[in-house]
Amino acid sequence: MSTAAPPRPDLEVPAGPPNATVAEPSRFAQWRSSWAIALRMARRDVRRHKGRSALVVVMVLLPTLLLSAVVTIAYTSDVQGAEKIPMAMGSGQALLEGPDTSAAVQGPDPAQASGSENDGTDEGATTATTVPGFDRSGDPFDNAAAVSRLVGSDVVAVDEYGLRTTVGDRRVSLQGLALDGRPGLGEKLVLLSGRWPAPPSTDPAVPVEVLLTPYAVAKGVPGTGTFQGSVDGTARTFEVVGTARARLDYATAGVVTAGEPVDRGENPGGYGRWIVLGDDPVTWEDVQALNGHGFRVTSRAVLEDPPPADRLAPAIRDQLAGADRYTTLLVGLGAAMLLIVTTLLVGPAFAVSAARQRRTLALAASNGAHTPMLRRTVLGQALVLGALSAGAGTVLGVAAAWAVVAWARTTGDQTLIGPFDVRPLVLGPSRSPPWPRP
Amino acid sequence: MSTPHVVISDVTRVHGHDETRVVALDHVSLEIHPGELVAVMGPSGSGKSTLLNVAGGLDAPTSGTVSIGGETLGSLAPRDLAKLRRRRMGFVFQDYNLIPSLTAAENVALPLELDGMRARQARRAARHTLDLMDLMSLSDRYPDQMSGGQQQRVAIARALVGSRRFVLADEPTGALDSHTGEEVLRVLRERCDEGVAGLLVTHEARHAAWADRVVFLRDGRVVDTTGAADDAEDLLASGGSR
Ligand SMILES: Nc1ncnc2c1ncn2[C@@H]1O[C@H](COP(=O)(O)OP(=O)(O)O)[C@@H](O)[C@H]1O
Ligand SMILES: [Mg+2]
Repeated sequence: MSTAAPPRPDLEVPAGPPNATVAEPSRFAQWRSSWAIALRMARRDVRRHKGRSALVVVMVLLPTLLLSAVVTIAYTSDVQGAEKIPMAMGSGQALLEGPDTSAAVQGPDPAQASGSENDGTDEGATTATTVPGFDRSGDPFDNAAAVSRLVGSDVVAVDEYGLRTTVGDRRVSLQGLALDGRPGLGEKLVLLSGRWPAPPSTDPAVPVEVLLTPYAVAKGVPGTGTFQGSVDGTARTFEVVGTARARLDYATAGVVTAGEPVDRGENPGGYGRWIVLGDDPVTWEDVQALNGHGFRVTSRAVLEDPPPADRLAPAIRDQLAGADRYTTLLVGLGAAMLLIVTTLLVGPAFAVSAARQRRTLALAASNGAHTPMLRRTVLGQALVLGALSAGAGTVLGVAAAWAVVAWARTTGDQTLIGPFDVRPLVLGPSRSPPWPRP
Repeated sequence: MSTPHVVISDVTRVHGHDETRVVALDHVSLEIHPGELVAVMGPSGSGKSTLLNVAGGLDAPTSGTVSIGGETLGSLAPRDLAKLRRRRMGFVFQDYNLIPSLTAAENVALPLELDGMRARQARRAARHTLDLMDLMSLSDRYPDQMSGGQQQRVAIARALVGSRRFVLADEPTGALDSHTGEEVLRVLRERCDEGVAGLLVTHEARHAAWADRVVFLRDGRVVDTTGAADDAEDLLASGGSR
């Protein structure tokens, strides 16, 4: 059945405005403007529905906050590469450790990868070349001259020891640093007040001159006069001559002496550590030469500008590649965790908001939005809220980590002494596992 | 003689199947010319909304064809159908016609922007349309800052923005008091007098009086048509409406 209309010859569809006949807008223009609408609506919705938005924000924010805090603390507790220079050598050029009886091989940072040359091969590890004048039964201070001749620069021996004393009726254990600071070692050892101590005398009756760190002062060790203490069970009298700030690898220094406070007896193989002074950088070639004498070398020049992987020994390359795989695995796990957590938490939250959006979507559809445009409308909200909260979560996480690190340092915790290390984008290149090595 | 802008020919729409089978539209044909406002009346469940949705391509007929401005909807891909909706026609529903997070001008600009027009240019075109309908003062208001009647008039503006010349209104006054409802219909009538084609679903005879023709539906069939709205009361009396 047809219902014919009365003829209306006076009326025709008027031509639309001039732009109606203009060339078809490109797909890109539609893509751009449908995103513009979606984001505009999302921004306004976030402002209009503060409660619901806050809920979603918290749901994304908390997991991101947690993860970024954990990652930041992990990277901070891990001191690697050029970060360790102030602790290892201060203003010096390198830190030598050894000598082993077999020749060493190492990566740019021996703490990350090192071993003995030809270890595990048929001919066995290569024997180290002897260091002329080196006394395998002497302590590092006795051997400094021999090491200095080998390196061709001045060196200072460095050692650490434990010192026990009592403050009132309280037992106090302090980490001692044996290092003569007079040559000037930069951040490694800074004199705060008083004067540099003289090297300890071999006569046990002569008090050992000592510098206190703020940590020892805080522990109640008297800032002037003498106190009794023992090192490796040997009692000595210590005389405070000033205060100093010192940086150790994974410990907080309590006292500093210019040498070993007591004769610590047997020193197998003359093993020790020396800081190389002077202005001459210790190059990768120098490092390899010293490796031949059984030393492992942490060099400023090498840490700051590591040699390319093809100049490393194959065994070292394998060690580093293994560490990289470990990092990749951890970073991958972290990212997967973040994805799962946010999907699990945010998914339902957005389902609520999507239900509220259904009417809006129907309106957009009746105004000619097709499916991809509609999807953008929902995505727009997820993007605005997600980006907002992920960003805020990361920033807050770093702030929380900073607070934790600052607090841990006041308690004298020895695992968080590295430079505060912010890498919220854990996917940045990393040369070693982001966790402290055992 | 003008060519019809909208041609609905022999359209049947069946919902469900077997026991749930409902024939919402049963061989309905209808033409709407430019400048013509056609009202559809009938009891609840008689197929009025289905007819409107089929006419606007929101729903597809089981058989029969719909063409708008010479284009047959059934032959169009979803993408092109969406384009047709952006450019050729606009819907006005009973309520909640405006997106709450957009201002009146932005709501009116929506189909233009979806079509790829730059936001500023689309906003200018929207203001132009609002101005034509004496709604300029509302352009920066959000829906919750407008009365129901104002919202419906803005919705009509959106239905006619840019090159749109076909407005489909499903009980647009259903949520309004009678005075405000009359005002909205007067605006619709004015637009049709300017050459727009209109399809108006209503169950109030007073509102149908604004139309050039009234089509009566019952159980999906056109049971009567009046050329002059004056007869609507008589038809109602004969049992067309609830
Ligand atoms: N999506 C659907 N699925 C099944 N039945 C429907 C659907 N939409 C409408 N109907 C049925 O079609 C008939 C006509 O509905 P409708 O067009 O909404 O009527 P009106 O708008 O005149 O009240 C009714 O019997 C209704 O139940
Ligand atoms: Mg209806």
